[in-house]
Amino acid sequence: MIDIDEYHPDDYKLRDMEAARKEVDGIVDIILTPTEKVSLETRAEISKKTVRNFRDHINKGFLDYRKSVTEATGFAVTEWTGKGSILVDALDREFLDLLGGFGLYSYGIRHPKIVAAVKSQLDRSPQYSQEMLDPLRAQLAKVLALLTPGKIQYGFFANSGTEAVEGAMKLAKLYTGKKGFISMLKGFHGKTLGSLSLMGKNIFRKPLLPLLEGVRQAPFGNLKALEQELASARAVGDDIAAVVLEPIQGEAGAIVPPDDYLPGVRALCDHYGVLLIADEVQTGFGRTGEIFGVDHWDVKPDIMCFGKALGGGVVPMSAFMSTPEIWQCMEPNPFMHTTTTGGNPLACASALAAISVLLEEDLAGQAKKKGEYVLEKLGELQERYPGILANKRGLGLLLGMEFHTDGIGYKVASGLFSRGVITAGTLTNAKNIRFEPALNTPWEILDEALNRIEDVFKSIELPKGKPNEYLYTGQMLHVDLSTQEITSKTIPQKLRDEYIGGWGLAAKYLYDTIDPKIDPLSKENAIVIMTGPVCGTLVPTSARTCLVSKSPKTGTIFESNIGGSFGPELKFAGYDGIMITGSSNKPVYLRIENNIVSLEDAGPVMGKGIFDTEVWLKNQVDAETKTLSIGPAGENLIEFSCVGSESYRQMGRGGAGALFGSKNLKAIACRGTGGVQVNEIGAFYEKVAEHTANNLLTDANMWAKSNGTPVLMDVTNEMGIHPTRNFTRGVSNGRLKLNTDAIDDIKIGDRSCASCPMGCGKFTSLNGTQIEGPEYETLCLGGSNCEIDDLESVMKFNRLCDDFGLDTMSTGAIIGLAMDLTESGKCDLGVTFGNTEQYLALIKEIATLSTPRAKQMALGAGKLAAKYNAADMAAHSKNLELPGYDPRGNYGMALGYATSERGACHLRSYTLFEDEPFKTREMSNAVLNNQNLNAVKFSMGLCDFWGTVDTNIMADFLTKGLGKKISAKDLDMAGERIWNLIRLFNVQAGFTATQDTVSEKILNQTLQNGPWEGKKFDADALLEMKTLLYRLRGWDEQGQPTPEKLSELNLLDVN
Amino acid sequence: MEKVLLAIPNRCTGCNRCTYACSAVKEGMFIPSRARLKINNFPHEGYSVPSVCFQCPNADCMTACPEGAIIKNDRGVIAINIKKCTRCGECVSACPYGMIEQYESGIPFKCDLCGGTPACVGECNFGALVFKETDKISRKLRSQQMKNRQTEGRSDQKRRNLAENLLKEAVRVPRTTNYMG
Repeated sequence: MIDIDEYHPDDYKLRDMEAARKEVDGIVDIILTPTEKVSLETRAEISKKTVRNFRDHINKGFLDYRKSVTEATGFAVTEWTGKGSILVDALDREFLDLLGGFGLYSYGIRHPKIVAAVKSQLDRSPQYSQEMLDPLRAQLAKVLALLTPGKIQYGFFANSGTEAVEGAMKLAKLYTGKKGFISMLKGFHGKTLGSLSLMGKNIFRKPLLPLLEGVRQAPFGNLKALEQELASARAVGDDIAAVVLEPIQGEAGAIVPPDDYLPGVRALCDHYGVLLIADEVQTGFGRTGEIFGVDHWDVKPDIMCFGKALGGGVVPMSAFMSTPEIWQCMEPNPFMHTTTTGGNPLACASALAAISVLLEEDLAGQAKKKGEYVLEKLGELQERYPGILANKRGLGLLLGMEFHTDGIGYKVASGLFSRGVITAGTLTNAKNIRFEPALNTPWEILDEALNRIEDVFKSIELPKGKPNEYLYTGQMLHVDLSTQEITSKTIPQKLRDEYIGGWGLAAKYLYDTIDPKIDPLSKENAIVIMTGPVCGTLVPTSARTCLVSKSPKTGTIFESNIGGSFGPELKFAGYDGIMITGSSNKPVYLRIENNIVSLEDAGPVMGKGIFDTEVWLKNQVDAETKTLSIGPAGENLIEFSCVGSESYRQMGRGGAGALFGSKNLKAIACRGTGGVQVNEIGAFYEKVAEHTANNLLTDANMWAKSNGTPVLMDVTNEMGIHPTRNFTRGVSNGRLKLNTDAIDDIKIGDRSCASCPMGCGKFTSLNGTQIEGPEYETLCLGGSNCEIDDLESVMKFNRLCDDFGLDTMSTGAIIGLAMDLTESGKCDLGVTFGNTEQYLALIKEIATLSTPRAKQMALGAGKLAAKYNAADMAAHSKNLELPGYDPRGNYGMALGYATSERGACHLRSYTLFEDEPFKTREMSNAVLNNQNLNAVKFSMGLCDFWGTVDTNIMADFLTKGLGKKISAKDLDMAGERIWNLIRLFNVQAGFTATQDTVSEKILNQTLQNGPWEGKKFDADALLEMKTLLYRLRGWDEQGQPTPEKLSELNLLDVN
Repeated sequence: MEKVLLAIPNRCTGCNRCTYACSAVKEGMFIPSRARLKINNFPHEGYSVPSVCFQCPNADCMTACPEGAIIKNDRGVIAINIKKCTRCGECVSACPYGMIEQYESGIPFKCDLCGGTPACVGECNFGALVFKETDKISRKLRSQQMKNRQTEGRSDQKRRNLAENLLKEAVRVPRTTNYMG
């Protein structure tokens, strides 16, 4: 590691003549000293000083990207000297040069003949007078005319490749009188403003727009596309002067076009009357195994550009050349294009000597043979290390290796660097690494370099994960508890495209696996656990993992999701999801340790609570194991039992615990040490950072970090929709004892789910009772709704429910109802409002079905009330007890509950903050949009509390992560498709529009306090909203998706 | 003055964004098991303890290396010279905090503070990881974290044991999470 912040007394401060003198004399003295006589100490000083000089006077940014700095230990690798294919740094460390200065060193470093010619010319005449005729320039032009294909005969010399391209563009415009150019996507021609206009990459081009007008880009290697561009340019009157391309794309990663491409381009140019400019800056002078790149296909361009190797690797030199016919346009005014230093005698001497070496040593022939050899060897390496090397390509010694990810590529580049091999490749751009060694590189050095490449490949630990599987692991674990058979199957691409992941994909798997009419607690039911595609990445709030099955509570399909870190762990183990079918004949837990998966005896923890079970599982596997498990409530098939994780997190609603119990599955324990890959880590990382800063960590979402859900205590009470005293009141007297300030007073820490920077979990401690929570729903249904305002009791209630495995929401609602039934004299369940002792005692009783009253309460609110002819006392929809928002003060919530796939649920649509709480038309629209968006959100695995996320942002994550374009529209359609699929399930399970309602308690009785006191719920309004919602969805009046809608959503085949 | 990477467990929420970021930067993918720092989560107790490399003044890993392949560079980072490394694993057993680990090939990896801008610190939204010059409070916190040493066991066991000790010693009362108590 190099200290780039190191301070030195001599560092630049302000203008200082004396210091300037000292600095310049110092370095000139060193330049004048023969290299072997400069002491190692001096050179070490130079190395350190160079880092500081780059930092202070060149560009700090380079220090973050050059492996010479980032990968060095002790001293930065500072260029000192070199010969042939060996570079030597200031500390005498040797490096094999496979980079060849990006094609500069075709003849090797300091070829003796070229150096001698330049030295000799230096003693004769280094620059021209600008008046006399200079012999070398003219002779070089003649030599080049003889070397180049076709009628190329006249030339202009400059210093750098980009200047050659600029000149060629001017020539083409001048000759044709037209202004436009067509260049290639991913093409590279230099970075001055004219050449930059031709650039085929937005990163360098976009920030500097507008550039030259009339430039179009076509995909390289695609004749049809080029013809389209030419034709459409002609059709709209954009006159094109020339097509510009590299015969083999260099910067793009040594891309060789199909054999018919360049001849085809030539023919198209002739047909459309357009010039063809071949940029041979990188491909010229033997690099690709022929003298010029175009020679592979015997194509004759109108204008050619040279650079890099033209100067022999000693003096910079570039040129553009053309035919006598075209060059005529430069003759009337030869001063149209001039330069003072281009084609100077030193550069010409260098170029002439270089061409002499090129021919004498048959460098093109050498490049051809050596290139074929290296490609063959790379092919063998690709076979041996398929997970590392994805592809190899190129012609001659312009070669490219393509890796599966930037990360792997960078490891190779940095591993090679530390083994003394110089190649291209930086952290953000290492997926393709180019080799452009000297064409006369000795065979031994090539072999040595190949050995070191293999050595690096060997040293790379391939993280788990398949090549080309991005975001998804691509694997679904299928566990048949009846046969004990465990298999891992690939998730078909079509399913990922249509259903995203999480909720959508799980619903699709369930739909395809079970008959909607089966008994939820029979062995025919299946449980699907699924993560989202961005789970296990830095996408914030992405750890939500869902369970989809047929609910024992409602008889519908249902989804219940959980945060924490189980989901990411499952992905790190190598699976996107788990499909559980059948039923075990003895209690088991599913154990997943990466690719080792087994069913193990759970006997020792049967009957135990979730807390003890978690400890036991960690002892069985390891301390970092993540678990899903059930308590006694799940084992006893209570319909509102949950699956718990990390003690205080639950898949709460819908009876997930009973489903585990019905299958004799006590738990799932998972440990994974693999990872999640993305297509381009740099680009993905940047996109995630951008949306996290600009969309998540903003005022709109910050309530989650500062307060968490308890903030809703004040909000709902103010709105008068806070369920109190078994849904009879909308404002709670005890609210101040349970609100966010009360929680804040006893908070001892914030808690997050994996990858969440919000941390809405509040860990509290009061008189020895500790818990993460209570959350709003528990404070409301387990607190206000039972008239319990003692925070410590609510915390105890919460802990007991979490440990025994009961959903706090349903449990609170049912106990509230039991209190109401008892006080109203309908039946005596031995518990009254505010009675904390009985309230707490009931939890164990219900979970273990140990008392007669508990057995009745285990039926759930709807069935319990009905049993005592008090159906109008229970607040539920499709048997699921209402959450903490009374719809009598917000009609949208009623519509949301009525039309959710799993009964009264607030997570499908949340209309609390709509402007008008009773406007039906607006509410129907809001519910429609909420439902579709949430279907996408929970399929992506994102948290409900990222309230501002939209499908554009989610599409961005997928696009960057997968490396293929996913649009917001694709996701909007997937959301609608998912919602329709789950509707189909419910229709087939026997549900009709009639059940899309809320219970009589809400419909027929008024609230007894607060702003909506005495206001009657308008049942017609619900019907109106529902009818409109069906219509907006393209469903018939029974709430069934129409064939047209199903066809539009690609769902016809599933029906 | 030299900056140190400081972990403040009382502020840590266990989100692991730091380990995701670290592995993204160092491994090119999201693979927390290969991160150069680790988070020990105790969800039941509502507590999390980051394990970070202290870049020890007298590093045991450095002394243990028979090849002299581990050096302290001029930035104060304990760095491994992979070229000299023979993959013997002595450094891994020597580290009392479990902060050097090996790839399956035997090549060791450890925290190098990302050249002065640690990716982990950039992702911590709770101030549980800070990179700063030492002062009285941070010295106290560091010495509390460094005083227990584990000589036996795998790296993950060492980290876990140390984290459990810190959990036991933690002073956790309301409103203390905003300072380094």
